[in-house]
Amino acid sequence: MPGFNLIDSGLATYNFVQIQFQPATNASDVIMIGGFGGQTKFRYIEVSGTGTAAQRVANMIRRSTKSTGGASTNPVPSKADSSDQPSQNQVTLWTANPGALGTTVATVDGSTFTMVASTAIQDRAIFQYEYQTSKPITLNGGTADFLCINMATAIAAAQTASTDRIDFDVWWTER
Amino acid sequence: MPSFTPLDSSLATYSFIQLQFQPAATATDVINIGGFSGTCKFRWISVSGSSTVIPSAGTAQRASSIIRRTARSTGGTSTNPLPAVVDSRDNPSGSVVSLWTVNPAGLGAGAVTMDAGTFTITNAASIQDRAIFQYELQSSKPLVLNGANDFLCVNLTGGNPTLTTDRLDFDLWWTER
Repeated sequence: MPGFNLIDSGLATYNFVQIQFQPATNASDVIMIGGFGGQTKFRYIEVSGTGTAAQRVANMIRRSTKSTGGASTNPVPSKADSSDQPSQNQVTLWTANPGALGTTVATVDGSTFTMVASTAIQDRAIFQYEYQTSKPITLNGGTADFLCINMATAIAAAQTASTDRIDFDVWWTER
Repeated sequence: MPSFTPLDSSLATYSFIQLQFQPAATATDVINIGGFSGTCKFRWISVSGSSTVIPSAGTAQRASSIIRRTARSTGGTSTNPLPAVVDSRDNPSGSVVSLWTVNPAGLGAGAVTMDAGTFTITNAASIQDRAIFQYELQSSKPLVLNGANDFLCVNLTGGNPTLTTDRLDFDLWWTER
């Protein structure tokens, strides 16, 4: 019985990478992605870091409104294929916590990872949604569907510190 | 007859995440999922954890068993947190999640252990060990529940007993049709 797999995707693919990022102390939302009118599917998310040895949490939170306030920038996502149009999602990256968090719909995924000293190999929280039988995290458009990477926790020892240097790697497709 | 893998699944997909969860001492069933009238297929389960104290030698291993039951475990103290909808266009999950902070007094009937793994609790400054149950995109069947009297439980009996200093992470993904 013959079978075949698609060799290459035709989906416009984007990524946002941030290396050695200094988060706010006791960070909440650090990254928010959304705003595209069509369908956005997250394919791979990775969070890791170095600093004082301690655990950190990375939650993938769906929000129906944007988080606002604090100090943030809007870095432009990269195109994986230079012939694609620019991403129509907006990335927000906070260096000072948002003053108001958007409305939480659900925590869709989450993981704990451990910060290590800068001379050690990193631990990584990996959220892998490529090539699977269930759906990836999917946003359905416009002004009411956002994905946030949130690092808040009630456990004091697991809250981010200004000595943290965190890596983020986020890949998604838009159609 | 040719077969192919579609680029994206159209199956309604749900997840339940719990990070840094404090279980009951000597926990039994911690999570129970079921009650959906259709077919529920589990695609990914991960159980890991750390401790608020440095684990003593010989006490750190935890067994996580994935048990099928024909009746829901009852009693104890539990909540029913809502699963997350992975695609915001899908309907809410038809499955009910029970999360126990005090052990159920009566474990559900018909127990069959479908899968299991041991993981080691580490202290909170160390990298976690993880028991991973991966059923995505495989040629064998994933764990499948059929109907309202088919339940999947994450049960922590079998290794060193859980302690109230444990902080456990659970990550479960499933589809419903």
